[in-house]
Order: sequence, then structure tokens, then C-alpha cells
Amino acid sequence: MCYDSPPHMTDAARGHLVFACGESLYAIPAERSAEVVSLPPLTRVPGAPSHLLGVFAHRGEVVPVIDLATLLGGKGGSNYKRAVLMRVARGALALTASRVAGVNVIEGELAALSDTGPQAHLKGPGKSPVGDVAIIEPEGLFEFLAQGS
Amino acid sequence: MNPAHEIEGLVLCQAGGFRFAFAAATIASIGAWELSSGEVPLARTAFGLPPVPGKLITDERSALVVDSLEVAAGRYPLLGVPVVLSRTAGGSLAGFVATADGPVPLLKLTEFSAFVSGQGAH
Repeated sequence: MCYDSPPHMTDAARGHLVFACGESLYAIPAERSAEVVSLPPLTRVPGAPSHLLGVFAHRGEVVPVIDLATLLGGKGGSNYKRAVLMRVARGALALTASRVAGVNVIEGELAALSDTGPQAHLKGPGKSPVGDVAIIEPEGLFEFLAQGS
Repeated sequence: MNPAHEIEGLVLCQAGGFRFAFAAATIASIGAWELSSGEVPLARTAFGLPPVPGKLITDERSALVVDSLEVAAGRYPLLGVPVVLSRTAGGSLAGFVATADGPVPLLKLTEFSAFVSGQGAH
């Protein structure tokens, strides 16, 4: 599968799937957001960090479920019913979503939210029709989680 | 799912309501364990739970206490470990057993016992 984007398009010009997790809005490049899934009961993994809520089986693959709010140091939720399935070359993650706002073009002068930690893989502030969003950099966030979980 | 990815024989365990499994072929012995039986790593530690009496399982190098267990014969589909979980629980995840009730973590006893011992020491 090829994940390259046309070279003339910038991050902001591409479509992004916008969703809420807790009180914040996030956006993920549309080509990385495979689908929005209804979460089944999750299997908890022993020794997993608090942002890793559990796993579920999806089309013959085990998918970890990440609570972005907890990962980013906020107040996590406990009753998520849906998640955005994010796919990169090395695997898939499900990011919990309290609301999905659809695909939008994000505008704004984007910069990494931090030099370190998971925020280093988010850019903002992006302007979407439903409010300010933090844009997730899928490969970077995936690798961060692979190193730290 | 690749039908070649199967496992035959499981020791299905519980700790505080959480499920996990070991390959039956890797387990050397199963016995009772009481709180007075001496220090052994408890699976409950990995879930942040206090100790209770349970079953002691061992392989050639290590031991672990679980709340309860059952031995299941037969072949079960085995799913791979996601990259994001490759270091979780001290790298003790060997896969996930696909069941009707969802995926069950398949653990390597020696690595998981060592991981739990490290958690208990903190």
C-alpha cells in the first residue's frame, strides 16, 4: 500500500478527518484514517499504560485502542463508543472519539505543539469549520507509542 | 486470518477478572498457592490488584500466581502482536488467542513473571 501524497499538496491543503476526544478537537490526514469503528468490549493488556485502554480484534488483526486525552495529559474518558482507525505502514491504532465531525480542509500556520512527548507529533493551531484542531502526525505518533508502551 | 497461525493447548488464566493465557506446552507444573506460601510474582500485580490465594504455575525457569485457571485442549487461532504492544509487559506478549469473547493475550511465562517481579519491586 502506498501512503505518499501528491507532491504539490501541503499538510493543510489535504482533507483531514476531524474528531473530538474529551474537550479537544483533533484531525488526522484522511488517507490515514481507515474508518470509524464502533468499539466492542475491550481486552485489557497486562502492564499496559493508562492511555492504552485495551485491544479488540478487527478483520483478523488485533488493534490497540488509545485514549488521546489521557495520552496528552488530560482527563480521559471511560465510556467511549467509537474510535477512528488510523493506519500507517507498520500497523493500525484506534483513537477514541467522543464525536466525529467529518472530513475538512484545515487552515492555519501550523507548528508542533511541543519538542518532546506525544505533543511533538501534533501540529496546531489548525482552523476547521468546527473549531481549532490539533493535527496528528500519524507516523510520528505511532512510533512514539511503539517506543513507549 | 492465516490458518497456519494456530496454537494447540492453552492454560487459560484469570486475575481479578482479566483473562490471559499461556501455551500449555510451556507449563511444567500447576499447584495451589496461599498467601503464606512464600514470595512468588502475582499476575494481579500487572493489573494493580492486591494479592489473593490462587494457583501457582511454573515453567523450567520461573513461577507465577494466577487467581484461577483451566486447561483447554484443541487448536485456537492466534493473532499477531501489534507493533505498539511489542514492548508492553516486558515484551512478554507472544500473540493473542482469537476467541468468541475477544482476543486473549498469550504470554511468555518467564518474561511475564520477570516483568511482574519488577513491578512489585517499585
